[in-house]
Amino acid sequence: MKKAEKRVHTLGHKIGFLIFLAIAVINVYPLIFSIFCSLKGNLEIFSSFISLPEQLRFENYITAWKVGNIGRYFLNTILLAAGTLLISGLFGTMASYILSRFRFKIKSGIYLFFISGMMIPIQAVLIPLSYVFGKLGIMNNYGMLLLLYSAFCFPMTVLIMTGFMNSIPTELEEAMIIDGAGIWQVFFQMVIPLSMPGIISVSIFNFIQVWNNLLFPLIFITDKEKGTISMGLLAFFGEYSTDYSASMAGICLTTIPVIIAYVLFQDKIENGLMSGAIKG
Amino acid sequence: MEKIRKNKKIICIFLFPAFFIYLCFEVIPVLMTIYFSFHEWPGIQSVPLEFVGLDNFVNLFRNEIFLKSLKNVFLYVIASVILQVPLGFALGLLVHKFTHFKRFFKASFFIPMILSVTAVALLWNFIYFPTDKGILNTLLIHAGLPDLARQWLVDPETSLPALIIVSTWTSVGYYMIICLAGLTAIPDSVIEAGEMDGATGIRKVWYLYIPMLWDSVKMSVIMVITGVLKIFDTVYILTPSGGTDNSTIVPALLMYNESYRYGHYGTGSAIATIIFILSALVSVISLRLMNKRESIEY
Amino acid sequence: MSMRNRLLSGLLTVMLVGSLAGCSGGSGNGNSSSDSSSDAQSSKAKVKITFMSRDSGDTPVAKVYEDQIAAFMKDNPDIEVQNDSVYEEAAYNNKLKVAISTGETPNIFYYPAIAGLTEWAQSGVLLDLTEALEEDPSWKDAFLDGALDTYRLDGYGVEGIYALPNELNVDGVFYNKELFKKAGITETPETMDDFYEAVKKLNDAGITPIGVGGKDTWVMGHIFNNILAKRIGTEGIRALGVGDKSWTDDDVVECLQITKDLKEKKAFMDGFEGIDVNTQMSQFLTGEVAMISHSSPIIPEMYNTDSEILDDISFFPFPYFEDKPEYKDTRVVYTSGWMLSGTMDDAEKDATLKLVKYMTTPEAIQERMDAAMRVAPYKNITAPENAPQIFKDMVSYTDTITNSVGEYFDYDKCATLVDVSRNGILNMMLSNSPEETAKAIQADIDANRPK
Repeated sequence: MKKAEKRVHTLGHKIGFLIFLAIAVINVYPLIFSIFCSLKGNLEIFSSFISLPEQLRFENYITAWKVGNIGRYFLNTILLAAGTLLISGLFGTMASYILSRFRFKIKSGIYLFFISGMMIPIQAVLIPLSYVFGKLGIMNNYGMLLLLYSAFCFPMTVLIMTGFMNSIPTELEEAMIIDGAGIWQVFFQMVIPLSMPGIISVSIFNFIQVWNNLLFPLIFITDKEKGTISMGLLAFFGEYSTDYSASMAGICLTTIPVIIAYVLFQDKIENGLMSGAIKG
Repeated sequence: MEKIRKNKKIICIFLFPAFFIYLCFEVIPVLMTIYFSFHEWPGIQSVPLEFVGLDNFVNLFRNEIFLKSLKNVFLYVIASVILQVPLGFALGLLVHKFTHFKRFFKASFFIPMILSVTAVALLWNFIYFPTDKGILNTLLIHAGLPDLARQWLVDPETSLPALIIVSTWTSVGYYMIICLAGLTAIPDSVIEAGEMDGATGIRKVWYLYIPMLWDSVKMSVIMVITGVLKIFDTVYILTPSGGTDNSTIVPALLMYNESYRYGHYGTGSAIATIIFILSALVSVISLRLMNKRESIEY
Repeated sequence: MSMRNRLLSGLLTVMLVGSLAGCSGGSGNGNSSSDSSSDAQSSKAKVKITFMSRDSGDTPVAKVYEDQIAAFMKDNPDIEVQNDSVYEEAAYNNKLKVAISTGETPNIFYYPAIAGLTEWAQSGVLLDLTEALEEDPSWKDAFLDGALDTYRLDGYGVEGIYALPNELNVDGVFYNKELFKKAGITETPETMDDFYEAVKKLNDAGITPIGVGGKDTWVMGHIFNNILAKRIGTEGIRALGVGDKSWTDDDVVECLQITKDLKEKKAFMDGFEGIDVNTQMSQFLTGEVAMISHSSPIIPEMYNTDSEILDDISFFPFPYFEDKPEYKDTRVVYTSGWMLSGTMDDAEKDATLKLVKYMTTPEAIQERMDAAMRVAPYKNITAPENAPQIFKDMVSYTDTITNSVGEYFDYDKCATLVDVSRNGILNMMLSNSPEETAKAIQADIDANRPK
């Protein structure tokens, strides 16, 4: 670690750093762009693309908050996302542990069975899914929705977690087993902490899936109080015109907290857990 | 040790929850979609399915637009694999080296992923705007290259590359994150040993990092392939009609139109089935190819 | 653990049974309506009906709907109305199509089609409203003469009226008086030749004549539709829709040619093929372009913005062709309607009709026009006193229309026609010839129009 730090100061790395800075700025730009748009009037957005707002229209945020029901929908979406991450993270990691470490006949078959789920366009299964949900009468049911979201998160979870576990050494957990620890103990005290970087990465992807998913809540939630962010943002796209200012304000209101949370928590979780586990 | 690794009870208990949820909520619906693809159905509950055998598939492969969509999506996949994975890993390796601003850099790649498609579409709409008011065209004109300015999303020659760039931009962060996660799993001692051997620069990346990250590379490639073969959002938002002369039409967009706009549910399901089979084939083939290169055991 | 296992295995059984039931539902016994009717009989609970429109969120008309539904529920405590409206187009379409495919058709909904409703009508998704209208003459009488015939599908192989006209979108050319004055145009164009003259004058004055968001293909589609209406008339368009006329006929190809020639005449700005409607609207409302071709619902939308030139905006009917005086008075009017579910039990049906009638009383209609400036196909409705002049003009113009026609694909059962023709027209503006375009459109109709 120490050696790498010194290298940053060589010339080559400085140039690399600058290039990287440029790329990073290009990535941050859309957020700044969104913030600009959210403070402009609708006509202004389309008449001058990159200019600063003529006057700051904070009322767009008030509109977005009220019309998009952002406060309520933000909490709902966080709830759904947290539940999905928990279910898909725990069960997905359990399955990946088996697929990475254990030996049995149909292992590669089961692995492919999970992975193949990534190949399904979500629109393709919407009608069969709503048959099932409709017949069971489980609309507006967060429990079922969590299982549904999780089901669609498992393929990527299994792909990434199995790959990740394949790359971490097995000696430590084997030593633990020889010392007489039970399988649950090994899993929770050794496997999970060691896999944390993988779990975090996959949780980021799964979070984005849930956060931006429009089709599931659209079809399976009819109770307005149970809506999600993506449904709230729809309220600005009309038959004859679109309120882009308010929609951008809504996007900023919902995105910025997530980015802040990402910056604050990701390193904390990673560092905290990694320092606990012994690196080989 | 061997005994535990073969313990059927543990295997079943650990696999069961994920397997079961996945089976009920994803696999069964997929099987139903495949079943639909052998039928004609207008998407009306009271109308019975009419078995038509392979007709839907045969008609599709006679349909020029569908063939065009396959061609487009293959170009899309190849370009995305070539662009997204190397870029993502290059960025990951670079960020890993940084001690300062690491959080800022990571977060900056998180933004395009989390930002709503609406914002992304609006932004790129302005960048690709067809007149000399467009951001890209303005830049070209100021750079003294006015001949290069064009209607990026309308011109059949540039519309698909334009979309590929947007996809690359939105998803490169995924592969950076996978790369970073892979790097944290490599013990420092291994990297230090490699550095003692005197490997530097590109050689170090190629002979040291890539082999150690090979599992991550493999899964990234699979993610790109499966993700791009079913691509819908980016295409639908930037070129809702599938582009001039179908220059940006992709199977998922056709599937959406057939099922949800034209009421040809059997045809739509058949397209979905083809997307599924293609992804499986391409994934297996590329896994085979990638498995030829052994990852380093450490 | 064992507790969870038991729970999950119970779930498995339920899911499997459920999904199999779903399958068999798809393969067609279609029992679900009788299921729900027995439910309704067994309990004297509230009748629950769903209302699904494209108006939701913050728009004035959405608020009126909300209020009217609330008032209705207050008057009818035994009926519960769920407002499932979705504003955004693709989302609305997804939700509706999934609902119909699973037999959960909303009791009242909106769908932009006429001939395209035939299959739903034939398979019982939609309620034939003839009987309900006959039973209540005063209700039937409230609609404008002939308006109810819009949704009469007798010509497409199924008898009956399958939707209630609810709104009229009257097409016109909206223009900026100030810019016309600047270009020296003193009178609004009546004929196409006047129109070409105006285009030339505007160009000479350095003003872009027409703002077109070609990326949204309906914009060019609407312009073509107006030209079609003024050259082959209502009968011609109807004949095209039922196959008595072909797209490759000379007069249709000529209409395509005229549409393409507008570009040669510099009627649109460079690059219009890649511009979207939002930009088009912004260009018009900031005085960058002199005209847009649009329909009446754009009036409240314009007044919802902070544009500074609203007072300069007026409209004129789409010009006619001097060599086709017989179609001078053929006007393009798009009707949007409410469809009622055809799979309701008696209690639901009664409740739904009650709601629809409640929302189509003259008072209710007037309320919506007052609040939202939408033109409605009902008698004795007047523009509110305080409405802008342009809306009053629109309402009185609507009253003068005697011969109206909708969108060409409204009269065709071919579901793919809307996309194929609009994409084809945009490609034609870019490169293809009118002949190629007509041929491609006709080929698609031959392949996809249900027999």
